[in-house]
Amino acid sequence: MAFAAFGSSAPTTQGQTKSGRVVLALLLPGLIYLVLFFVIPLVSLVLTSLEAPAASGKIGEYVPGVDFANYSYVVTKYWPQIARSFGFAFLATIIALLISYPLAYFIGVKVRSRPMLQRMMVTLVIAPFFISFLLRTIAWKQMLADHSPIMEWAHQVGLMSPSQSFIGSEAAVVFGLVYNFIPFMTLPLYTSLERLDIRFLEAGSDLYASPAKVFRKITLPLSMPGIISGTLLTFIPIAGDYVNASRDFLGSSNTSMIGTMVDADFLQNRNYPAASAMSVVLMGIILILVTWYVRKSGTEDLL
Amino acid sequence: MDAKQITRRSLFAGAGALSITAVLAACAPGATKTVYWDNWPYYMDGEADGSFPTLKDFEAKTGIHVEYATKVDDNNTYYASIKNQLAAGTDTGADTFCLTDWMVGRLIGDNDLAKLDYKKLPNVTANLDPAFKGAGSFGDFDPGRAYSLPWKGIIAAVGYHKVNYKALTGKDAPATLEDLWAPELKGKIEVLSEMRDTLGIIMMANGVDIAKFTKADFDAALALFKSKVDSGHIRGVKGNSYIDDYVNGDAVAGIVWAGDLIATNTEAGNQDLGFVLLDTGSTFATDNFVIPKGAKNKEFAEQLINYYYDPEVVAKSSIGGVFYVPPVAGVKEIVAKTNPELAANEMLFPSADTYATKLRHFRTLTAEEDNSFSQAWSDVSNGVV
Repeated sequence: MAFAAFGSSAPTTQGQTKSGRVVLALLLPGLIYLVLFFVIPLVSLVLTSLEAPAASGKIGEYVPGVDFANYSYVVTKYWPQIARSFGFAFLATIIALLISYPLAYFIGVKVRSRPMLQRMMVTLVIAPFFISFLLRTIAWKQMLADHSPIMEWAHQVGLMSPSQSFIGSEAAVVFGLVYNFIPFMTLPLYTSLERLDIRFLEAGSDLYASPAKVFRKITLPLSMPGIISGTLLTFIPIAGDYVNASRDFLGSSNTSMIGTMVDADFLQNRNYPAASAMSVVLMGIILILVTWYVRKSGTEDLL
Repeated sequence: MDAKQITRRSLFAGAGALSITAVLAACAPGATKTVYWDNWPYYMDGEADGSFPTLKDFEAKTGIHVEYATKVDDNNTYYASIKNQLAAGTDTGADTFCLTDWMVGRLIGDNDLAKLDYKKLPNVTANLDPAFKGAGSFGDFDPGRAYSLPWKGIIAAVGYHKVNYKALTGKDAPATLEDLWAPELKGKIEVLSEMRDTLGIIMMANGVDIAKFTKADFDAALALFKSKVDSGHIRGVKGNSYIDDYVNGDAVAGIVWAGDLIATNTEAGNQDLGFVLLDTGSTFATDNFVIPKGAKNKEFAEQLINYYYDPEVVAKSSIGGVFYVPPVAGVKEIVAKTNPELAANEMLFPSADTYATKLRHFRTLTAEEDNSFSQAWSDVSNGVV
């Protein structure tokens, strides 16, 4: 779009050329940044994903090539982990939405009359970011350990059998994902609900619409931009997350996600082409899903 | 050691260290003598409070400043961070670093390392424990020790929490690897993510000599490991977060590194965690000093290595809290003078008999084996079918 803006074929006058140069100069730092830190790594990633093993057979040695076998290798081998990643991402996004919506509604609409309280609550939503993501995840690992007070309680009330462990289960990983990404859902929802005009709601009930109908016909559509950006901001990073599912954090050998396999192939197996192919596959699937989602929800204007 | 930890803090620390290095290089070339040493965390006396007594002594004695950085928290991630410089033969930022034997074997195979100059290493010639010398012992990846010298030896075997183990099984201590597979311990067992330690111990329990095992032996051990992972009997396959799990009760027994247990007990002031050298055999590995080809201060690095082959210095660091096996002869005797209890610890100073009968080193793999075994191990650990 930026290119189209100053590269238009309209007849150029002296003034336009000048402003075009200014625009170009202003854009330059951003463009250089994009080329250095996005285009070049992306091209290098794709090229690596096409490399073939070297004849020496040594671990970590590959030669440039056009070997699409890496793609079929990762997809056929890791499809359960790919499916799990997107399953987890879908589930965690839905749970985060269900928790965040009432919370954001409360902060954005219900306490609107008390700005001090409202600001305090927004701060509380952001507060976890002041502590490292990894430290918080490790803290949960300790809090949900087999003999922690929380788990003792869960065993007592029969939520879980005493022989079961929560840490290492798929539920623990989804829990960690929801916990870690919930602010990314709450904040966009809050910003769109905060601007919700209450007079619409009043008009709705004046016209004898039930609260549920008012919500469905007015609140929900008006908060749609928040829902879309919130779901995108949680779904995309969750699909690629490799911390929560890691065996050293909340996961186990049975919770590996795409990120786990990229980590394993890149660092342990030194299979750089497979790790790159896996990353390209992850990006590709996300791109397709997001495009479909944005088209479907009719909010292209947002992006 | 395969301690795997990704923290944002360490990322920032890395970035900070890099920029400091750049500043030093820019404003004082050659003005101060500095040697850059990257090592694993918890591997230096005085690390907890930053006092570093033995490093400070070295600086006072030689006038060489040591830039000691605990940048190595995993063999693979550390290698990934320097692989391009190694391949190009340029400075990696470290004049010496300590990596585990199998990784050193790969670096030697890739021709990444500089040959050590033994003329600069008189202490090594005099004091290197014969068990570590190479060829047929704990150094078959570097025959004659031309490129690497051991920093510490690492014993892996069965560890257990004394109270919790008794509560679950009614027994005092596991005696064999088979004891870990008792049904009462289901979901309470954790093993190391270091293939050579975990599979090495399983293979030895199967009656295989890990100094000369075959692919069939490896496959049999891997199949057993896989069945325990798939059934959930093994709860975790972990790098360095495993000790917390023994302390909070998530893990009750498993395969551990002895030095970690001694350190945890010492820190907690109790003896809750126990350690068993299996009769079938425990694995013994080494973390080794190497000097990359592109090192800028090779001579300083050699001076540093030589210094850590002085038994007095090593004794000081052992007493100071580095609970791994020193490869230097004469240390035990010096430690015994002030701390007989520590000197009597078999996990820190194994006797000749222990070396001969209980400790074995996982043989160096061929390139093809290295590739396929690592892949198979990673697949099972990550639950890939």
